[in-house]
Amino acid sequence: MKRKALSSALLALCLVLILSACGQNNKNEAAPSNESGKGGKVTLKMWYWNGAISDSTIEAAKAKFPNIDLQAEKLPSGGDFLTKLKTTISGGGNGPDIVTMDSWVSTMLTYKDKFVNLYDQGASDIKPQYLEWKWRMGATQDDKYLIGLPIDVAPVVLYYRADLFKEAGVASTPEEIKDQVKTVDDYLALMKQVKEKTGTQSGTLVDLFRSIMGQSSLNYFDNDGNYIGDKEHVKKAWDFAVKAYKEGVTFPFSSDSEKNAAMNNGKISSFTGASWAVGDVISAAPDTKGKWSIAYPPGGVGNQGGSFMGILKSTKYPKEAYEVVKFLVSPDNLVAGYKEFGNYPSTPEIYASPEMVNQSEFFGGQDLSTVFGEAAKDVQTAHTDSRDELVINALAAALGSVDAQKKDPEKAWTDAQQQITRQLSR
Amino acid sequence: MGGLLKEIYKSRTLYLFISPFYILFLIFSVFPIFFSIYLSVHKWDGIGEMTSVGFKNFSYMFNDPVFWQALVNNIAIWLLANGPMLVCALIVAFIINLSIVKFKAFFRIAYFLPNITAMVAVVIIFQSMFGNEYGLVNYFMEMVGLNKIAWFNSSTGVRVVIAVMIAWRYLGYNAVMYLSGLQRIPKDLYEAADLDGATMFQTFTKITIPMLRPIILFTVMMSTIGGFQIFTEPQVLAGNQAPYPGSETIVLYMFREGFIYQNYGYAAAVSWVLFVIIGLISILNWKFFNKSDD
Repeated sequence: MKRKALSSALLALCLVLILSACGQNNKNEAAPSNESGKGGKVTLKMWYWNGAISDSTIEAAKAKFPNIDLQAEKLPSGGDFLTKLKTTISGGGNGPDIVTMDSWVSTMLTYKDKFVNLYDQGASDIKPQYLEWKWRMGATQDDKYLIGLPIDVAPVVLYYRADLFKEAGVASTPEEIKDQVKTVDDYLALMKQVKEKTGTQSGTLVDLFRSIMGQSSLNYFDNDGNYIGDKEHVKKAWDFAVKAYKEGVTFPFSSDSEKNAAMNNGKISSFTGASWAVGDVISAAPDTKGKWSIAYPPGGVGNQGGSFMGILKSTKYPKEAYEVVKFLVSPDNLVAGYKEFGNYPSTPEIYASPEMVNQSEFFGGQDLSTVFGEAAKDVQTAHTDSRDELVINALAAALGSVDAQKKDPEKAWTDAQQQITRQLSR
Repeated sequence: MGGLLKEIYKSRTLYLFISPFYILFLIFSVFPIFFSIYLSVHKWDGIGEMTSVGFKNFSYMFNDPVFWQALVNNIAIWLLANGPMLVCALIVAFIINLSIVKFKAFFRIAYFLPNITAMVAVVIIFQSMFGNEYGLVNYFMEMVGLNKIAWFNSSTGVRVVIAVMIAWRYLGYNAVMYLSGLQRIPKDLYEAADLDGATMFQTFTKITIPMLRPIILFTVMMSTIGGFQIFTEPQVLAGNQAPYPGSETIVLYMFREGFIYQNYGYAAAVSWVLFVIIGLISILNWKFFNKSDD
């Protein structure tokens, strides 16, 4: 009998342990909700990834809202984050209150009823502070429903080797480039001369294709979700990339480690990259320190990345959550993020502030913020669709095969279009 | 059935004790397996409504050249990697097992070491080693007077690189398996053969190989299953871009369809086809090795 009692006790212990492991979150969330009525703390759970919002800002928010218990959870970034967010939204249950979203925010508009409409919380009041194109990415077509407040933007600019450009006798200061190299055709002519004089190349033909598509006001799907990836604007970008490849000015399509080695060896003299590419160049090409510059990109400005912050409908405290989000993405706090890891803020009013000056030794002492600020105001956006990735991957693979396998460009184009049409037919 | 339930009821305390395992197993393994069957006949993007599409997922798959290409890639990589690797592993094990070889424990560990490395890091190192312009392999090939090879520009090159990675990783593992098998073979068989004047080659083919059959079956089966689950190598090689030519395996295809393009229903269908393929090949393996048993 004694043994039985002992075993029952052990068993009970096991089950309690399991249940507590599964249910920990419930407990944390349930407790404050009872207290909040009596003026206790409100618990808000927030999901973000490393580099989305600075940790010092989060600490500042905790200090500013003493009545809010802000639980910031750092999750792996990229596809994992999106998958986790999606499963949480579809599964219901105790998800986070505040979530960070990447540039795929527009694809979440389809499920806008899962998010709090930030306009109901008074977001219209702070709208003028932010870049208009960026703001629109988080709002519905009719601008009645807003699911995310802007954090940072990632304007695409031209990275180039000022010394090599000078040697080739082409426009080599940021001002000269902005004035003289206006269109992509100008850029091609410039690359040809640089290649002749210095033997160096630009990014791959796929990079070129992507950056031209980024400058377009049309993407792969129109506002009604119809496929337009086989239309004129895409073909033009494709043809331009192929032309540049045939002129020999593009770096062979290969892995990033090859590209980095070429950059460090001074074989690549220019490429278009988003504002976050600053860190990439610095770590990839330490031997070329001081020789790089950035300039306003020829052909227009695209955007590659930049995140948003929204509130899930399942939250119990939309008001408090909105106050926290508003604080986290306020201009002053975005400056902190820029200083910490180079996320360029989406609030133009601070671009000119002395705090934003960012003179980089790697870029020969150039103030990077001036170029980014100028570019950020002119960003061209296009309708995004959750199926964009599928189209881009197919086109990039086909374009890569033109270089790597010497496939006929026209055949590669029709094959890719066929594959896309079939994949979209489901 | 009633008897079984009665038995279970009789020893219910014991079953309750092991319940933490099977409760978790039911939730995290059994349920997903059955849910994926349900999922495979639906269309689902992860959030929205699930719509029933019958067997459309399967008919699309069988008409999709990308799927067939993935299957071809997979079989090519699997053969390239595992054929030579298993033979080499057997030779390595045989040599380590020879009585003249000293420091057996050292070699065992040294050969096994690649197996415990972090896969992603290894892939990145191999990627730079096989780089078209700045790779170490091409550097050495030029040094000995050969031409550079653009490894990542052709499907054959890419498959070879992936196969080398897999072979490097699993050679030691399989060698250790074979070694344990070799050590189980009774010494007197070899002594008898020695007395009869058998050559080393004869002892190898007439004694070692037949006695090792169960181990060989095991390694072939495991590398078949592993071979159809190749994922990390091609995924990391190509990064976020589209996969390199010839490198898209079935699991990578499934992953892209499910987690990048959000066709969860379709990805579930692919996983079931993959299950059937692995099952069929395992049965074939088993039949093939058992037939010649007697």
